[in-house]
Amino acid sequence: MIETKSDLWTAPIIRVYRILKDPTVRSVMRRELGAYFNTPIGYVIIAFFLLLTCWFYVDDLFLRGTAEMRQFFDLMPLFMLIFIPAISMRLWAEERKLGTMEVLLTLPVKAWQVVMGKYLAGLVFIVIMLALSLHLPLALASKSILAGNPDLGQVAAGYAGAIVLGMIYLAIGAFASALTADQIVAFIIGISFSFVFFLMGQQGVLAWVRDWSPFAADLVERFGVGYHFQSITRGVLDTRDIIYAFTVAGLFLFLNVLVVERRR
Amino acid sequence: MAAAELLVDVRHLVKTFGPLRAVDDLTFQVRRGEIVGLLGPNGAGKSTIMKVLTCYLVADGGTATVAGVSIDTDPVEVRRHIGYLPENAPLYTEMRVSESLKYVARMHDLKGAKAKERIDWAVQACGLEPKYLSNIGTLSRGFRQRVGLAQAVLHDPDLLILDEPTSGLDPIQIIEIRKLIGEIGKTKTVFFSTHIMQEVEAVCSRAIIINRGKLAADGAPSELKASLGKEQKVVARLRGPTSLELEKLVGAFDSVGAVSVQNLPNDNWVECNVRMSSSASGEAAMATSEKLYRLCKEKDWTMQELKIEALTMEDAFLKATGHEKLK
Repeated sequence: MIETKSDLWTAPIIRVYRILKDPTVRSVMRRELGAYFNTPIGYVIIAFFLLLTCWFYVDDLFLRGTAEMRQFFDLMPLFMLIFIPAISMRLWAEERKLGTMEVLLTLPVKAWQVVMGKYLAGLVFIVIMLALSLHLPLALASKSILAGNPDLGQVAAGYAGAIVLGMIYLAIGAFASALTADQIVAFIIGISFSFVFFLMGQQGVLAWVRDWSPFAADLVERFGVGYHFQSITRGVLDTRDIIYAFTVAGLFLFLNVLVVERRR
Repeated sequence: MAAAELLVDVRHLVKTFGPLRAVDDLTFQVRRGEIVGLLGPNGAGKSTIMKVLTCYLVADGGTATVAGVSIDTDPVEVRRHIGYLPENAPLYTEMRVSESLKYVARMHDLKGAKAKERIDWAVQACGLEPKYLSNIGTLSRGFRQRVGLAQAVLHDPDLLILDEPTSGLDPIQIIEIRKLIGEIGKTKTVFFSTHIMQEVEAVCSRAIIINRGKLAADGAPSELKASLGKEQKVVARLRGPTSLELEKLVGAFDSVGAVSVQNLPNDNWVECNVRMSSSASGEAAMATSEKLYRLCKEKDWTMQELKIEALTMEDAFLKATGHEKLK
């Protein structure tokens, strides 16, 4: 029970810890992760993601002449918008298509355990995908390659922001996947919902809302991923951004559980 | 303990999908050690019943308990007692058989040596040794069914629920699966669905017939056939009469329930099927066949075949589901 003020923080942290330790969650996570790499899908997604993002980053790198990863992270909101639904689309849609949902959900497991297991598998996949771009900051920093002097703190913050962004888009994408048996439809719904959150940070949309009400515009901005992503990549770990991430991800994970249970 | 003897206790179960009553006030029990066949035409509600018992679907009315645990209050516990094989044996096709079994073992909280022991047993019981390291995607339908079955028995459940375990299999595979079910049935309680009558006669100690969500019949195959027992069939092949003529004449005999005469492809031959009425005595079929023979002699027709047939499970099923006029 929440008794002291510090409990407000420790309670959710303990909850998250317990979820990560749950053996069923881990079993599901391991299986899903294996599924990504037992078939071409995992490799294809990683390959294309790296190909595109690294290309766009390196394209201007030498023209700019500065050793920073900021432009790489600037690409993340848009690229992740497309690639993360591609990662999440198979999580539930494939189970429905194969009919294995019936096998999975008649095992002595709870729906939330399966939802979290799949979600964590997607998250680990995203981390692996991002980790494979580490050759960029390494090249920037290494004396024998580019001998730049990048601010590694900013690089770390950038990756943190990218992972948080991934957390949010993944939760949305997983929810979308649970809605349908068709992976393509899951992909499209995932992108669409994520796009709404993306749009809320775009100036074009904000300017339009601002005409109507400046207060509403500020509100809308804070609901969008862009605002919080910028905040994190600037290197400041604001608790408001963490709360935002966990709230949005948490909301969609909750909806995910509901949809999975609703089939009954 | 009396409660544990009733592995499945279903009372007044109702499941609706919108306006459709897929399961309509169903009541039946399955006792420990039985092999019970759930029979019904396609769309009768067999799969739905199984999905409700495994807590995959939630009932809209009535109650059910599995091994004493109510499906409403503790679905996870219910599933611990059940080994379920859905229709068409859905499996993760990108995994190997070994990986899939290990995964299911983990999901059942089986670890380490215990898991290995159970997996080895299941592989051996279901004849999966030759395919243990194969990719599930490469397996034939018959072997996939076996993998599904192995996954279902892995955690040594009290009750096995199998949804049409022989559907889509070739005759050899069907015999093998039936043997497997019979073997497993020696130590476990099995509840499986099918629409193949011969399967029920071959394997089951009891049959439950479902039609349009409602219970149509419930009893041992011999009992079900005996309930039509006094109704036997006389079958004759004759040359001479027209079908209409024969129908009228035979229809006039005592104790006759239904007559159908068909023209056979060979010229002039007809086949006559006579069903005794439900109020007829046990000797009625004998008497009728004698009368038919004498009729033939009188009219100088040629008789090729005359026999009295006991009704099969198929007939019992057709009667229970109200399709008796089909033959």
